[in-house]
Amino acid sequence: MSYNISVKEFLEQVKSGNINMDDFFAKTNEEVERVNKKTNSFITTVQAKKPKTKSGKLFGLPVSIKDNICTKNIRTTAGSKILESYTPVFDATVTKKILDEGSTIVGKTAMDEFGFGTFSVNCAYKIPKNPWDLERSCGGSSGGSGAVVAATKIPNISIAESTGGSISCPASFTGTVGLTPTYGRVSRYGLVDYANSLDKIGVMAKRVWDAALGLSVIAGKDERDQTTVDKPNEDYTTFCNKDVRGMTIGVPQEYFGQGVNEKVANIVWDAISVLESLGCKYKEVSLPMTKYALYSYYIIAWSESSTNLAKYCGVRYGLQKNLEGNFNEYFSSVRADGFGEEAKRRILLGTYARMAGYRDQYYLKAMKVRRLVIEDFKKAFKKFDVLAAPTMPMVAPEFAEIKKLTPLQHYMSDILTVPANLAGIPHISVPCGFFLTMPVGLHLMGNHFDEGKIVQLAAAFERETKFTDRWAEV
Amino acid sequence: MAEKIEEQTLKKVSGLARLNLTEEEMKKFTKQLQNVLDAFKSLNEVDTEKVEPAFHPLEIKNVFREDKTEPSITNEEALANTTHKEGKHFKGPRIV
Repeated sequence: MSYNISVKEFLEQVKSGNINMDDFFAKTNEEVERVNKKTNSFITTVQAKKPKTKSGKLFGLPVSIKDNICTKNIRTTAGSKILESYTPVFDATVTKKILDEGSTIVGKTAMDEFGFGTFSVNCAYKIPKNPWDLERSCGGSSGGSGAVVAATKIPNISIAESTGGSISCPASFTGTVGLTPTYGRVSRYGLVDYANSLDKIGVMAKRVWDAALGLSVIAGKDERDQTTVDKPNEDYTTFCNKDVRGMTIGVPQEYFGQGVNEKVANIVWDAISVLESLGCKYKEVSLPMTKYALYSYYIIAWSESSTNLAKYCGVRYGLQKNLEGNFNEYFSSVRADGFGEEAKRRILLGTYARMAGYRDQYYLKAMKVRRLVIEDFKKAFKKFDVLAAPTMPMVAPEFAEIKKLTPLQHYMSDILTVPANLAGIPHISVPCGFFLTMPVGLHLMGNHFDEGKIVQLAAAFERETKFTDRWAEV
Repeated sequence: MAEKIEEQTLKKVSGLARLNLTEEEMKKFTKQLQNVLDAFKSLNEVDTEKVEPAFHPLEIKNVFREDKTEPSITNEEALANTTHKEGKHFKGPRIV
């Protein structure tokens, strides 16, 4: 029996008892192996097995989890050599939630070390490949999640995480749906922190409905994460069938400017015309802080990550060596061995930006510019329900092209995803066309807590265009 | 903003960060950091004189709970990921 059906249909079939679960899990394991062999999408694979619960919103559904989210008794490396031997003794809140709803974990997905990257090439393990073209990147940092969802022909979703665009970017590059919620909507308890004021756990999936379902399961206040917001849980799938007539869309001019591939921009403009044909009204808008958002974001991200990475010192968990020398010598030596090049670069940049004498110039300045970026968005959302733009300024680049980039050029690739992440507003990337053989993503951004609106618009677009029905063949 | 970064500065930074760097890394990172920080100079163009820093994307408040102990991981679990242990304790490197 073929299980190449949608998540929605699968869950209904399971409920009606039409699926032989033993056969399904056996096929799932084969399919996961097949996709992993071709794309290196997993750091660790796990055999799918019968859920512990008897029912649940995700009953029987295979779920992959980005490798920076803790899973009890399943190795969690965050893509780093320094955590190669780390096996958590507890589940992250999101892990517990998806297991409580009856899903089965199929593996931990490949990523840039600690999330530090846009192309999933800063990896201590195998570099994941794009199922649409194996010579190309699947985006970062949740690259493995993108590859799994794009290529696996059994119903599944992936729990991913974004700090500056790490869900939207791989969604755009792999032709999948990436939903990043409002900062604080989902608990970060059990996440291997990158930058605490920016990290958001979200969902990658084949279709908008699947992502909306995943978010409905993992969202909610958690006393173990003080930054989670006290809002009632919603069922975001209910937004998928709503009419979008009369919705207002702002198109930020700055997102179509310098550095954005013209073909990609044209495809996104076509997508905006589709939204117009569905009864939405659009108007161009200016977000003048856009060009500064990138700098503000990186300074904050480096600063917070350099403090977060201070805990890796080779004593309580992670990479350990013989206890030689005094504590400074020992820590410095473990860290030199365990961290990859990009992690080292960010630790240095972050430590510099927070150092006495530079703190006001860099760290505080960046925090002030963040305030202005948020105000830009708030002003726009007084006039518009949703903002629409390209997710990434290009299609997935070839690995050979990425090798030529300097660190600065690498950082600049994030210009379009960083502002929404810096402001903590929810956003979704949905496939909106192809340039040659590679998918292009449409980015829909909403006001804080307006996940419903972006899901509504993305679902209407998907229904009309059916781009999410296409498969990457590997 | 963005003064010239000397290898001397980088030595200080890597010391603060407890990160040994090889000679080669030192040279490479000095150049790259300079390159990155030069570009970031343009943040100076933004007038932030009357702007309050936004430490979080949303305004968040302190959250308190009663000071009561609750079940936690066991001593064994806490030590499960290390080889550096003695009895019920972690064993660390020499302090002095």
